[in-house]
Amino acid sequence: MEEIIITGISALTSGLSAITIQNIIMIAVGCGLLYLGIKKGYEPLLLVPIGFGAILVNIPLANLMGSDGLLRHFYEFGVANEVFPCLIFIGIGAMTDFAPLLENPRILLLGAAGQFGIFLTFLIALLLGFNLLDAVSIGIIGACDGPTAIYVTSKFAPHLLGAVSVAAYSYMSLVPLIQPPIMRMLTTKREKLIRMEYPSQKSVSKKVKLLFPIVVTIVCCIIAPMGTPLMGMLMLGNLMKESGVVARLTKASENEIANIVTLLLGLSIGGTMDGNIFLKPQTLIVLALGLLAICLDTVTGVLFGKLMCFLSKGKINPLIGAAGISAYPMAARVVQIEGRRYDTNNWLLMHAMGANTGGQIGSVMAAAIVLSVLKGVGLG
Amino acid sequence: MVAKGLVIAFVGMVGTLLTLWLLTLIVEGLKRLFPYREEEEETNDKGRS
Repeated sequence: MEEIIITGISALTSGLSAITIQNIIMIAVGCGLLYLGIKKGYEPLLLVPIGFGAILVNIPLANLMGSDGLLRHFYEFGVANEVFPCLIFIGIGAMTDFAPLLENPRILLLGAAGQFGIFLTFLIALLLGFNLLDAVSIGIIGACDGPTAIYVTSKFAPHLLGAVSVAAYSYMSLVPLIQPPIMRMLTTKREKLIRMEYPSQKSVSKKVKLLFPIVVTIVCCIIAPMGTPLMGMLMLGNLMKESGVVARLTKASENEIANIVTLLLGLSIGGTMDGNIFLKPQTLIVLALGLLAICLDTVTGVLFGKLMCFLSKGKINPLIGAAGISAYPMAARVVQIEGRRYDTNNWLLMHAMGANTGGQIGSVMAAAIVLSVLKGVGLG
Repeated sequence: MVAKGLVIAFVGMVGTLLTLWLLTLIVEGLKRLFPYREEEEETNDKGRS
């Protein structure tokens, strides 16, 4: 009898005896992510499931990422085969209004310049000794676009998925803190005060709004076919929204589908944060490089904005270049707030939204080009 | 490997910029081809509602 009691009690304490210091640290990290999501409101839709997934996977003996574990099933079902990021893109497309971009298509170029940080960080990661595929996955944090970063990383460097996705989403939520100092440093007071014209009347017809997603899909996917799943889903969502004939599908894409996938995606990413695998110096380097990528994106976006300002003889406020990094719609709001710091009647929001949606297309295009080039050199 | 990386970075930056520039031209073309007409848009909206 006594022996049975002792065995029973020891079974209850086996979890405690199996816990490692790495598990404890990662449970604390998970709690930290929950704090940021719940208390600070930083990307709660993702940080809450990611944080909770990180706690779950670090419970000893529960083996949630084992071959039969719950989180492993979620991971295999939607992350390993890149289904979740693509489904989220349908929702993003359905939620995005490209009208500000179509009103002034030139600012689409800012969406390209805002991606240069991806490539510069990729080179820095290579110089630091990462291999090509790891470096690409680290650089793509600079897309400032969670699903794109997850799509590329799960394809090329699944072992970095936890670090890359945490970096992508947490830095995205920190855009209002990261960008303003860089924007202030790189622009003169005169540039900050530039007011941009608003069209006196609408210039984009319904036909153009309908044709835009179709044309973008055909052109971009022919140029970089490896990005077709991402670009195709983004534009499908937008076409459904603009057509107005599939309201139920549009509503489901931007609500039910996006919500369910976000939950499962967050838990799966949290599931990759097993302390025994996640806690290594490489993770800290990835996080640091991710931050650098977003800073470099902002620098290149604003510098390109300055170039466009010069070429347009002062008609473009370079601050909107910062919105070219994607991070929709936070980056556009940051531009609006920064512009109004110097002139309370300066309304840059619509132009910044245009650059921001351009950044969304730019980030997917940049990823698509990298995927296609890697495939071309036999690495994809 | 760094040489390969430089090529990827260069092609990536130039490719992204050129593709988006091409899209800019296409959108400008579409806007000329299908200009905004207030009456037409109102009819479309009514038809939809």
